[in-house]
Amino acid sequence: MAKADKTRYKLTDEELIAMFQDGDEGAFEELVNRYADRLLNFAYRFVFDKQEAEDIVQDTFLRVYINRHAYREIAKFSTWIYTITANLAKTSLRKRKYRKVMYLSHMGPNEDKDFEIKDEGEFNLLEKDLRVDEDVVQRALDRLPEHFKTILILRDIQELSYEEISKILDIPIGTVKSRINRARLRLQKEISKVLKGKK
Amino acid sequence: MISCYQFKELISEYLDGEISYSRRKLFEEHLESCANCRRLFNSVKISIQSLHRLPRVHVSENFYLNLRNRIVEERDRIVKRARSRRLTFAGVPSLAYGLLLAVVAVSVFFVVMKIQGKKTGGYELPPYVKQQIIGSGSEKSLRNASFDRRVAQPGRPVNENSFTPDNRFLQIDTSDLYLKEADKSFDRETRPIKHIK
Repeated sequence: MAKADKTRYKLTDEELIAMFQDGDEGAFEELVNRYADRLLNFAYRFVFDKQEAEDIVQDTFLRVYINRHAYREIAKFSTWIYTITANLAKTSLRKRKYRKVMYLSHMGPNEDKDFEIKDEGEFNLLEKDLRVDEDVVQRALDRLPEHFKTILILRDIQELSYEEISKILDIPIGTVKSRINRARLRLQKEISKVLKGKK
Repeated sequence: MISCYQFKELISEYLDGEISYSRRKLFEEHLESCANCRRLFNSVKISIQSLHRLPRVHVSENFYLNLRNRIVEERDRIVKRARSRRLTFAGVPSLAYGLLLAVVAVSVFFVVMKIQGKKTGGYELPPYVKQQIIGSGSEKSLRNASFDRRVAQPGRPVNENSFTPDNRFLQIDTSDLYLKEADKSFDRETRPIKHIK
């Protein structure tokens, strides 16, 4: 058993999940170690709340544990687990947006002025904006439509390949390419808008 | 040479190294010649770099402990649910439940009917009917009697000979006779009054 523990890190994700399906709980622990931080970063950029992101990741592993037999080796394990996390993160974000809408609906007519940023002219980032701080990028990310935000986190933060993204989001590679491009064009616009609003 | 629109569409493919050789040459040519597109290209590049530079977060120290606790809780819940299902026959399909209920209802109905039948001793005739039957001396013949519907044809009298002794339900209607008798007595009583007048 000790020998098996030592060699576990050499195994692929698919081999580990197969071992877990056969009742090896240690294989599940190895999968948790491999994916905990990766999934946390993905969820964190989505909801921008560490506790909420940790809950999402825990829910993901709980689902993997319960539905371990639902996994088939036709897809990569990473694709499967990212799909679960993405769905949970989207649900969490929608719930939060609903709460925010409910909160705003209880405010007076002029109290939501801080949420408006005027859309004027062409926005471009300049060399002097090269070091954009985390808060600005996160705010710009939050202003993106959900499908743009998801694809940018998967590509530019998680650094997944076009093919993996295509499988996780269940869309053709051509759509992945064009969506990434449109999302990036929109992000640079949103970053410069946030910067302009700050000044 | 490609247009500004085509250039805009190829920015990400170029930055991700997914562009073909021929297209890359055309892209770079446009990048050199168009100042607006160059500005846009640099802006996209900066935003991607800022995404790459975002600080990484790590799971908290109690993450693994919390996860283990949640798994244990979930496992207990599943076991409890399975046990309660076994006790309440939750696994039995609803159709089987329905059939079982119908069988029970029908058997209860029959049992109740049987008990009630024993208590009352079945259907009993009213006492005056009983007396009549006993007086006639033949309960059996009454039971076997056929209830012929004999209707007198208009203009033809009912043939009295056609009645059998057993057929006791067919009786001659004598109500008219009594009425006539009553009329007679009435006449007798009224006559002296007329006389007085």
